[in-house]
Amino acid sequence: MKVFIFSVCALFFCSVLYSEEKTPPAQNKVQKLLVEKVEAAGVEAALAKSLEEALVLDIGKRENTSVVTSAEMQNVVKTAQLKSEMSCEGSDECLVEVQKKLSVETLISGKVTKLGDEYIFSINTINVTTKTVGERISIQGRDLNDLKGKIKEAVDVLLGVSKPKQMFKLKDGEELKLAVMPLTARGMEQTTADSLTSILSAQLNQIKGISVISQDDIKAMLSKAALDSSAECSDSMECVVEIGASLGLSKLVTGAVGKVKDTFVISVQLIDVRNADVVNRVLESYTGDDSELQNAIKLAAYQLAGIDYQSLTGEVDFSFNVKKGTVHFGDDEKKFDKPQYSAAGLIPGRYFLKVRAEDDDYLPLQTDVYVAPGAKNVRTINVLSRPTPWYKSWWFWTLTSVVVLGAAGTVTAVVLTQDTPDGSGTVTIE
Amino acid sequence: MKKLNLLIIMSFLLFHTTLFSAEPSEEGLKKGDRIADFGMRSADIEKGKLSGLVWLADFVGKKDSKDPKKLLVLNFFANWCAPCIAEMPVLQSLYDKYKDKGLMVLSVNFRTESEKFDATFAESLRIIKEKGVKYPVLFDRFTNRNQLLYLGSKAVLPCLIIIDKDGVIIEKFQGEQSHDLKKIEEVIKKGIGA
Repeated sequence: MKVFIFSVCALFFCSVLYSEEKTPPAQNKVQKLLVEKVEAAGVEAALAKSLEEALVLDIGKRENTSVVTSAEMQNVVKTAQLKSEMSCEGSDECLVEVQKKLSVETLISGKVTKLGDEYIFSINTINVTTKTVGERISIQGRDLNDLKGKIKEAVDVLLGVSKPKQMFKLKDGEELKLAVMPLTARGMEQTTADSLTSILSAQLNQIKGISVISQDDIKAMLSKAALDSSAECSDSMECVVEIGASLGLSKLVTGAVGKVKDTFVISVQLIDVRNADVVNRVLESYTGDDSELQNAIKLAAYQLAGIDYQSLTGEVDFSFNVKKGTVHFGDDEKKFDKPQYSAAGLIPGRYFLKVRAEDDDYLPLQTDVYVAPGAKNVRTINVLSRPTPWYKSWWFWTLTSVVVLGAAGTVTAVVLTQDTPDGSGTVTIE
Repeated sequence: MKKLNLLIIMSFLLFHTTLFSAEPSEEGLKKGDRIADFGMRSADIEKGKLSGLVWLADFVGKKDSKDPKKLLVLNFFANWCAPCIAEMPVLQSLYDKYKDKGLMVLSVNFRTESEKFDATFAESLRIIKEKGVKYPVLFDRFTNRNQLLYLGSKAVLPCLIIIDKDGVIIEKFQGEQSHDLKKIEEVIKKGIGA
């Protein structure tokens, strides 16, 4: 009996020990993040600096996160002369090496720009190890304080603490009749904005349950003849709601598209006409080619309607003007020996494309591209050639040749035209 | 950019094939038709300016109407339409008499393209004050599409449309017919069960 009790106790003790070994005490892993310098695109640098500080402050206050500022990183670079120590080729590689040295796992970069009266602050994370772009979020605000007030929520989404809030969702079987007001152009031609309005209308009209009222009807209403009232109707919510009410609509879409330097911004809102309230807001911003606007606006249509578009995968088919090199698209990185890259089954969204030609005469290309729901993005990507250094240019060598030949000619001429001694004089022979 | 333009044209064509238009018929909405809901800004007579939006569906045609009524009288008037202005006090007296029994009266201003809004609005305000109108008078700054939808492309005034709680037009009095105030009151009484 004693042996039995002893055996049972031993078994129990062992099982407790084993289970303790299996479940080590929980450790709070600290995530180290680097907040890069916030880029100011067409706005005051001080505003970008303030937003960077607000980001650092917000992340620094959080448990399980440790933040490195861009200033601290630059200091590290300077003092340790890391660039030469690490023998990195380009600034990108160097940056990644520095971050590795600082044990930074995630890089947070941001860009602030202005669209009309509103500021747009886009923030995204970059996984330093995989060099892939993670979460992206854009916030919109009237001024610095408005933006600062929205930073916490944005960082929550970026760090995966919470999911982005979906304000509106078209329910199954729900019928929605809406109008798309002409998008306002900021820093680009109105004709481009009008074309994007048509694409947005067409895309929304294709979504089951949504019918979009004619652009002609709206344009007629907004014609100069109709706008004879002293009250101007541009972006004002009051006017927009009034037009929607007149059309008997419960919802309508307004927005703007803009370009600041090389950044394109699309901002669209779904407005509840009866309550004069914004029920959904979509912000898309990217750095790249204007041809991506059509894909970005198609994506925005689905986001605006609150449709789950993840299953509507898309494709890309890119051709390059360089024959060999490396392409980095989303999570995929591969070498190519044919000037083409294709991928299918892609979740709709914005992707980062990087092309590096094997030939050193070309500059590395970095751009954003969009995959619209159920669509194929076919593009020719033009990788720019590296500017020829002045000492290799034809004009330098022509000039040099002219100077050298001229100098040689001058010397020869001088020598030949010099008076030769006539032979008279005294010669002393010792 | 060329590719973008091509896609834009294609999208435009596709979009235009799926459009729906709301061209008014010659006679407009008629007895038995369901209303086409719209919202217009009402006049704040005291302050002499436009006020908030008033929708037809706030009163009839919806299960969850904000202020459900048994009957809605929708009246159309123009500043230059003398018979329209003449019937305003009569409508006001009907409104006063039956408003507590479930009647709502809405009057909608109609203006031609040559009439400027600001001048029309100012003149309408003067008329409304003069005639002692207390029921909501609605204005559209941008278009008269709804007026034409109800009145028809010929836009015969005066026009008085009676709508039941389900949002169905039960009577439409247009032109000379709208002078038959006795008949109008009979329809109202029947509609509200008075």
